[in-house]
Amino acid sequence: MAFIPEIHAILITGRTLRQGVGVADGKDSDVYKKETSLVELSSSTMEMLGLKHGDSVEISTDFGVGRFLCRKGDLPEGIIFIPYGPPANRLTRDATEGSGMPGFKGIPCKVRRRKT
Amino acid sequence: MRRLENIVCSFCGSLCDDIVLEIEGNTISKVRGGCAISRSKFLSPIDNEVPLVDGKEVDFSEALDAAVEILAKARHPLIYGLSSAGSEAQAAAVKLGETLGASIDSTSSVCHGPGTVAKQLVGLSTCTLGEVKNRADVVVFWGCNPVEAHPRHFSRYSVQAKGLNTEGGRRDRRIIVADVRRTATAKAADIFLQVEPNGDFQVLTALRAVLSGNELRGDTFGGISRDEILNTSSVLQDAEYGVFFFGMGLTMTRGTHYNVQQALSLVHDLNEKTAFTVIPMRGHGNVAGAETVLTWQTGYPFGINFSRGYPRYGPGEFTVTDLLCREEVDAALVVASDPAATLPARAGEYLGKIPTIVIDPNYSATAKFARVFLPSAPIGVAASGTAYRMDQVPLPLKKVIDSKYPTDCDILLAIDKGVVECFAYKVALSMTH
Ligand code: SF4
Repeated sequence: MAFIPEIHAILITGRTLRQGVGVADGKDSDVYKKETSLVELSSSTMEMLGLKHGDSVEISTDFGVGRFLCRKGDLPEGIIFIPYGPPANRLTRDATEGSGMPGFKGIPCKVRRRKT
Repeated sequence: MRRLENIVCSFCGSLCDDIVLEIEGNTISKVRGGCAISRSKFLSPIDNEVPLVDGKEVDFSEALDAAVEILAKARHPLIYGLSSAGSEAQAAAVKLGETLGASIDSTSSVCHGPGTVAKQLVGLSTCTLGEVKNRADVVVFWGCNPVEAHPRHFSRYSVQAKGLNTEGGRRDRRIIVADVRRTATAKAADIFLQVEPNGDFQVLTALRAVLSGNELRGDTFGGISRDEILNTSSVLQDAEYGVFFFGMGLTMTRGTHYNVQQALSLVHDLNEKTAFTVIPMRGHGNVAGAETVLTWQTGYPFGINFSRGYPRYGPGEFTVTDLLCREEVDAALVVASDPAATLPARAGEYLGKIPTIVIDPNYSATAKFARVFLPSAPIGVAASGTAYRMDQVPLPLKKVIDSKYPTDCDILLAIDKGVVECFAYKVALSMTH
């Protein structure tokens, strides 16, 4: 089966329980580092890109690019989710459009399978 | 072994005040009643850090002097963070901000700040979490995920909690969740509205339109079908006592404060038909306190500048992301917060280009590139103080063990004293020449 090498999606960043535990444990803790370098993709997105749990993807936005390990999430097609943390912050919008609030949710992005 | 009851956990805005701690010597050995995050918070070792200047270990007083020197020399310093500090430290930070003519902002600007702007426009019909527990039969969670971010919110206050008029707990409540993702919170809902990304304003507008007797034209609104809108609107109106919690799914998406303005207006409209209240689902333990203290001290909740000698308010101008991305500040003092790990990368990286001072019980990502690191006693563990719960109820945080370091409040007051002395010396010097 031929896989699509890259898809366009919308990025949402947010809290997870393990990310919260990581914050309390310390930002150098394994739990924090591991949780914040994961991206959740829907099953159909993973299928389209030919990905399995734990495979590496490259995600890029107008603001930056980063590499993440993927896991399956209960998400609508076209939406991807990354827990808050420094890797996600390389992709978020730093312009606040006069509100003081950067763009942490709803950011257009590209997801590309990395060669293994 | 000492056993302490009714201790407040200050990690998140729920401020659960029923934690039981067992203490052996000067170490917390057991945490009962808390969630996984709370256990990590209380069981983390303290006093593991040392004061640093340029990455080298120094005496505390030397680090303090270096901090004073940086701030006294700065033309436009920024004071940022404060949401995990006690309210006494927050007040001390305002005092220092005024002395310095600094900009002062809390993490509010990157979480619920837009909600606060909306609150200033619409007003807030609100209540305490005690009322939610005892009275709420319809509970809305819009763009928030308490199951993961406030793990005990459901059981203590909003969903399973049993109260005077809600003896059946979960059975006596209808739960509505609106989110882009089917989160763990959404899985517990009676009605789940799976909103399109950036579609919240449309959904809220459609709900308001139906409530005010208008006919909907169109089939879907922000990803929600007409039938779902009609059904949700009737559940909202049928509430005996409804509560609307909202989170960053509204404040961080396109429209920011307009989304929240629409949500607060929806609650306002619902009060024409029944009793409805709204509570912002605040994240950090004392971010509500940061807004409260800054407001009572300066008149404004966040994004404040003292450079003219009096406070000016400017979301988008004096807020942390804008000040750092525009490279407008020449020194930063970060209190109990980790902007390098939480702000967009460009903003965080600028902190590495200017002299940055960090006051924190833990060696954070920001501390790694800070010029000065001052370890402090962790609030609610080795320092006492006050924190405001998400419903604005102030609760006392207890000191349960000892730290060798001062509290962040004492450190801020010491820096302020040092800066005042520096400024007085400069004036005296200029008069002799
Ligand atoms: S829900 Fe929040 S305040 Fe309550 S114990 Fe957990 S982290 Fe602490």
